[in-house]
Order: sequence, then C-alpha cells, then structure tokens
Amino acid sequence: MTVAPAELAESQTKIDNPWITVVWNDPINLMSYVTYVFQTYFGYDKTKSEMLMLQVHNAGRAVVSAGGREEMERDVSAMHAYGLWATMAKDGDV
Amino acid sequence: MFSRSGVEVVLDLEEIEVELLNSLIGQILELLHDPEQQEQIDPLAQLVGLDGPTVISDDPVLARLFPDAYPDDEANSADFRRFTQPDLQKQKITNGHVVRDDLAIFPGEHAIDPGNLNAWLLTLNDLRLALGTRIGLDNETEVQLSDESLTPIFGIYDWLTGLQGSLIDVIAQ
Repeated sequence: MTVAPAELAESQTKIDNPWITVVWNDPINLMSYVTYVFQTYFGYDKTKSEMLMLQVHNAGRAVVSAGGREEMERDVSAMHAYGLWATMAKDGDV
Repeated sequence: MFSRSGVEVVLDLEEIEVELLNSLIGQILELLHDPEQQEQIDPLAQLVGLDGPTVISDDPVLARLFPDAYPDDEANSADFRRFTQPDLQKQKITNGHVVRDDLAIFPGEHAIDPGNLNAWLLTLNDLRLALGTRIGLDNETEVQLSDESLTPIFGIYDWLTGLQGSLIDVIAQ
C-alpha cells in the first residue's frame, strides 16, 4: 500500500500512541470503584482518576490510555477483568 | 460490612448473609463454567489454547462480563475474545473460590487476609454486574422496576452495593 505524503505527515504525529483504550459509562459500577481501578491499574493519582471517572460518568466515555496495539489490548483486557466496559480503537476513530 | 480495625480489615457477616454470598458465588461459578462445578473442558482444546469463544455470549450477564473489545469489528473482537476470555474466566473463578474459602469461618466478625481483598473486591463487583444486568439496570429501563417478583433481587443488589462500597472505603483510604 502506498501512502500519500499528506497522509504520512498526519499519521506521523500519532505514531507513538496510535491506539486508545476507551471506558464507557454503565449504571452498575460504583463511581468510587471506577476511580479505584484507574488508580490501581494505571497508577494515576486520585485527582486524575476522579477526573477520568467523572468524564466517563458525565460524557458517557473517556479515553483512559493510549499506546501500541498490544499494550492497549492488555489494558482493555485488564479493564474487563475489573468489570469495566472497555473497548479499543485507533486514535481518531472515536 | 467491611471496616478497619487497627491494621486489619475485618468483615462482619450474619449467617443469612453468608448463605446468600455462597449461593450467589455458586451461581456465578456455574455461569462461568467452573470445571469443578461442571463437565470437564475438552483437553485438546486446552492443550492448543484455542478454547476461547469467538462471539459475544447470548447470555446478557456473560455479554456484560466479556464485552467486545473492538466495536463494529467482528474479526478483531473474535481474536481478542479467543485469546483473553479463557484467562479472564479463570481469574474470576479463582477469585470466587478465594471468597468462598474465606466464608468458611463466618458468620461473625473476622479479619480478611490482605492478599485476598482484591479477590473479594472483584467477586463482589462480578456479583453486582450479574444481578444488575439480570434486573435490567444495564438498559436503564424502568419497566422492570414495577415487576414485584424482582423486589427481593433489588434488596440483594442494594446489600451487595453497600458491602462493596464498604470494602472500597476501607482499601482506598
């Protein structure tokens, strides 16, 4: 496949973190639990974890991590292990 | 409920609460196809490691516990499911066993081994996801709220919510 120069320039900016993990809102998981999961699994501090949790709660979803595809598959699988509803996508597709 | 006593995390359960937890855990282990609860897994499928399912479950609870990883992408979701779901199921089954083993010393007030608290947290969450999905909370529908036959399940769900909330309060300090 040939990539046009313009597309190449655009994709170059996302080359380091081409995939994202998205956590979706659900009415069952407790807000305190979701915050705890973000702190525990991602190692985010409480402020960032609460901010992401509120984004999930209010906007319906939040991008919680970005990186290579295998890395994001690990994150999505870890979120599923915690019972969070998570999916992955190429950055820009969501 | 869970509480902190000095350095220990203690849990206080009445007999009926122990019976309830044992029953719910038994049900979810069966749903997760715990080999100890059900028939043996195909040994060849286990050997080659391709024993995972490829499509999302028809059962709403299993579909909630193991959602598609790639929205609108069946092929990649199938591959992801095949490689991740068997391990996730095993983790959930192991967690359920840890909690069930801990329950053997209840009722009463007992300290829980710190190394087992994560299994408790995840198992209580699985039980809430399972019950919440069964009573239609995931659809945010109010139709089923008027179904009187579900009233006891709402009571159990609320109790589980309180129990998990008390554990989070204790470990997130």
